[in-house]
This record gives sequence, C-alpha cells and structure tokens, in this order.
Amino acid sequence: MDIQFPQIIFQMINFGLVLFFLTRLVYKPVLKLLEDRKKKVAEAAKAAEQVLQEKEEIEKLKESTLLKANQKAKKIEDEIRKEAKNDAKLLLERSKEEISAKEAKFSSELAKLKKEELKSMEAEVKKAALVIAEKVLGSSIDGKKHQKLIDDSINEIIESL
Amino acid sequence: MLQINIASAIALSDIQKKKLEASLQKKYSKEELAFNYQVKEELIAGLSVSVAGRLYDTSLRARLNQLASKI
Repeated sequence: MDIQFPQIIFQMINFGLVLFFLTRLVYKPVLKLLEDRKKKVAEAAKAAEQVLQEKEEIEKLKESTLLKANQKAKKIEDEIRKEAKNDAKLLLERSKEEISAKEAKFSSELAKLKKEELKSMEAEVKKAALVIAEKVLGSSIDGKKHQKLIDDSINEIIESL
Repeated sequence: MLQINIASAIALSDIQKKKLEASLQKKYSKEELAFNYQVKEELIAGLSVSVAGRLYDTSLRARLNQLASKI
C-alpha cells in the first residue's frame, strides 16, 4: 500500500474545511444558545429568589400588620370595657344619689306629716279634755259649792280692783 | 253713768251683791254706777265683772280657757 501524499493533503484540507464550517455554523451558535439559556435560567432563578424574598417580606408585613391590628383591637376593646365600667359606676353613683335624695325627701315629708298629725291630735285632745272638764265640773258643783265659788270670785275681784 | 255688767253662773244673793257693789262704789267713787246682773250658765261657776272697758273674769270657764291655752 502506497502512501499518497496528495490524497492525505486533500483529506486534511477537507477535514479542516469541515471542522471550520462545523465550528462556524454549529458549535458557536449552539454554544451561544447554551450560554443564553444558562443566563435565562440564572435570571429566572434570581427572579424566583426575589419573588420568594418578596413573598417572605409580604408574609412578615402581613404578620406585623395582623399583630398591630390585634393589638389595636385589644386596646380599643380595653378602652371600651374601661369606658363601660366607668359609665356603669357613674350610673350607679347617680342612682344611689337619687335614691338618697328621694329617701331624704320622703323622710322629711313623713316627719312633716307626723308633726301635722300630732298637732291636730293635740288640738283634738285639748278640746276633748276641756269638754270633759266642763262636764265633770258642771255636774259635780252643787249649790253650796257654787256659793263658795261665787264668794271666792267676789273676794278675788275686790282684791284686783 | 258708768255701766257695770256682772255675769254669774247662778244668781247672786243680796249679801253678795251688796259686798260687790260696795267695793265697786269705793273704787269708782266719783262716778254714778249702774249695775246689770246676768245669769250665764256657760260660766260653769264663779262670775265676771265688766267695767269701763275692763273685764274681771274669775269664772271657771275663764280658768279652763286659760288652762287650754297653756297646754
């Protein structure tokens, strides 16, 4: 078997051409495509990471807002409870004052009524006592006593003249 | 003439009238006196003498009234 140099050279040139075209037309575009894809994946991963981070921040914000809202609601509830308690206390005090005033008024009216009633009774008793005295004295004085009383009256009048 | 009104629970005897009149004459010696006697059972006992706007009331009724005003 003879070595044919021109054939070898031709094969080498041919191989070189094929290599050149393959490198130029296939390898570089594929490499570029892979690079682009890698970049896109990296960007997507970054974006995903950012989204996750944002999500975490939103979660944190949500929790914080919820906590604040709960605290505010608790504070409002406490204030309302406190206010209601104060109102109830005030109402109770007012009621007590009103009851005391009514009691005092009632006692005063009762005392007044009692006094009036007593006064009226006293007057009635006086009248009755006078009537009884008149009856008793009128019936118990006989003629002799009358004369004695007349004599005493005359002496008394003479003394006072 | 000075009017003297004498009211008593029963009629006065002459002795009693004279005694009273004598005392009144002595008190009002400058005046001419006219005595008016009345029997008032409501006086209960004793008598009252009204003279020159003054009243001398020693009746039992007057005493009871005084007592009533005090109580």
